[in-house]
Amino acid sequence: MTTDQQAHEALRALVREPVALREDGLDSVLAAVQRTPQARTRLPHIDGWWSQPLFGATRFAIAAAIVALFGGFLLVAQPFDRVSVTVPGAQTEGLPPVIGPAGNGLIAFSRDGDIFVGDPVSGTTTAIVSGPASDTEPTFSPDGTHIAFVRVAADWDRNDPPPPWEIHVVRPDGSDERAIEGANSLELTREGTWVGFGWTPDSAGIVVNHITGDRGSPGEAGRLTLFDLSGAAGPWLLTPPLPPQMTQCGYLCGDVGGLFRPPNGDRILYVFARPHPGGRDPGHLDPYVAVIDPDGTDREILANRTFMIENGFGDAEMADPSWSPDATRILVKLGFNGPPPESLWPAFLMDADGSDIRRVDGYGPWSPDGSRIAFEE
Amino acid sequence: MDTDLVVRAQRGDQQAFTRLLGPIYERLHQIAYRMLRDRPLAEEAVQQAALRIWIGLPKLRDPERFEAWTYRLVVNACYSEARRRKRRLSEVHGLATHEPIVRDEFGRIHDRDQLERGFARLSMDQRAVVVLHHYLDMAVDDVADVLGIRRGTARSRLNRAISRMREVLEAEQRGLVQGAQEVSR
Repeated sequence: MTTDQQAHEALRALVREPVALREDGLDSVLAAVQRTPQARTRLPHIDGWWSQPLFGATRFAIAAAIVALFGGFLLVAQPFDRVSVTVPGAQTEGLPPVIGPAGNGLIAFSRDGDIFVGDPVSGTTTAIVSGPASDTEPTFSPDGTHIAFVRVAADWDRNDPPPPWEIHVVRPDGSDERAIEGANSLELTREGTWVGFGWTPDSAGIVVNHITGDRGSPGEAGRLTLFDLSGAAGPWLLTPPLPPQMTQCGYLCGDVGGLFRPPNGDRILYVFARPHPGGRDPGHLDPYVAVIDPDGTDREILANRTFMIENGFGDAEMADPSWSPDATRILVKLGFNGPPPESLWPAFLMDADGSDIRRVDGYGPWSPDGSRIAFEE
Repeated sequence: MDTDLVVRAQRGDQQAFTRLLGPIYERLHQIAYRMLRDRPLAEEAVQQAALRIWIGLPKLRDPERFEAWTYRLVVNACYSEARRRKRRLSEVHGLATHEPIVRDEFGRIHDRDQLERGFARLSMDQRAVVVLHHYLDMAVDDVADVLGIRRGTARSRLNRAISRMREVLEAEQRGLVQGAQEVSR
């Protein structure tokens, strides 16, 4: 008969059993943290981010009109065959209409490394940023007063090491163009860099998901940083100066997709990557889709490599996640490390908690009611 | 624990923060792994705990309590990860490989899987008490203080954990006896 004392000792033996977890050294950790340029600062309170009546009735009506105009512009002006898929199970009633790209009736786009603004009403297109550098990913602030974009030096691929990628802002008329100091990202060794950004709901800041630190050093790690557009305050780290053995590839690195969860911005959606936990291949990074609170807490992983394989997507890369307009679903773009499966699916949908994963035929913007997704074919 | 470091970290000294975290990182990781029995989940729990340490540090009133406070945060992070594991099945990375047997202080050799199954039957509340008590060698009363529970509750959880483990070991013994009888027939 087993006695309590024997059970006690068995339990003790199990719990005290030596377990080797990680072997990373701490010296590099401290050095990396000392190089972190940002000062530790308390985060701004998110309550104020939706204090402005962005969804007030007047703006609502204006937004609906702009959306209609925007849709018409897309049909007329976009150069690709644009199709759409119906989102399985999506609700089509009771959803708020989406305010256009910025609520100002203008559309920003990049072409040949320059930034343009198009006015669907007048039909005019204006180059607002041009030059030898490659400028891409223009994104209007929610209030329509600024456009943020990614700048890459023209000779980026002929430099060793390559210069960092930068986040710039400019006004829609092309004035006041400037770099956001510190909002840049190192080239990531495998396939270019990963730099993602998104506007805060009040348009006062930009959250950047970027790689910082000395190239190839243990301190090279991903971080999520909030930059004040005015430059008067911050920047604020949304993640602590975690040692590399805790950050792995980078606690946060990768695309910031739909960013703040509508309507109140209480969760940030992003992808990141880190070495396989079992050390399968140190050079191979496993992708993850995750959400996190804007203060950097309560991270939850919604999808990872194992999840993708189990669901029949193969060894897929994940990128550009975006919330549906009602925040009930998440769309994620796929890529593949090796040979693609027989039926290559460019994207998948899942519920906001990572359940009910479904394949979809294309990746692109959501329709205002969240029932369809437009994509290029 | 260097309380001066804690105070400096509370005032925003990043270097002090990492100097604080470095020495206890491995311990936090070990606690998380012992509670969750899963490496990826344990890593997530420690990262979550580190975030909460970072954010909550300015509110820590007694710097002397820093280390105990981090234990509570990592235990709480383990609760969160365990809840997520119940909700999701995506994390299927293999458990750590260990020696197949565990020998206790009486020299008894137990089947490791049997012990793991026994441990898996413990609630997270019970695991927290067991791990802090046995892995960190904390007195049960101190465990109660760390977890913010009554001392009687901590003792009760430990006793229930022992009872459950005893049940498992007895089942193991019954199986061995039964197997031996079948062989002798």
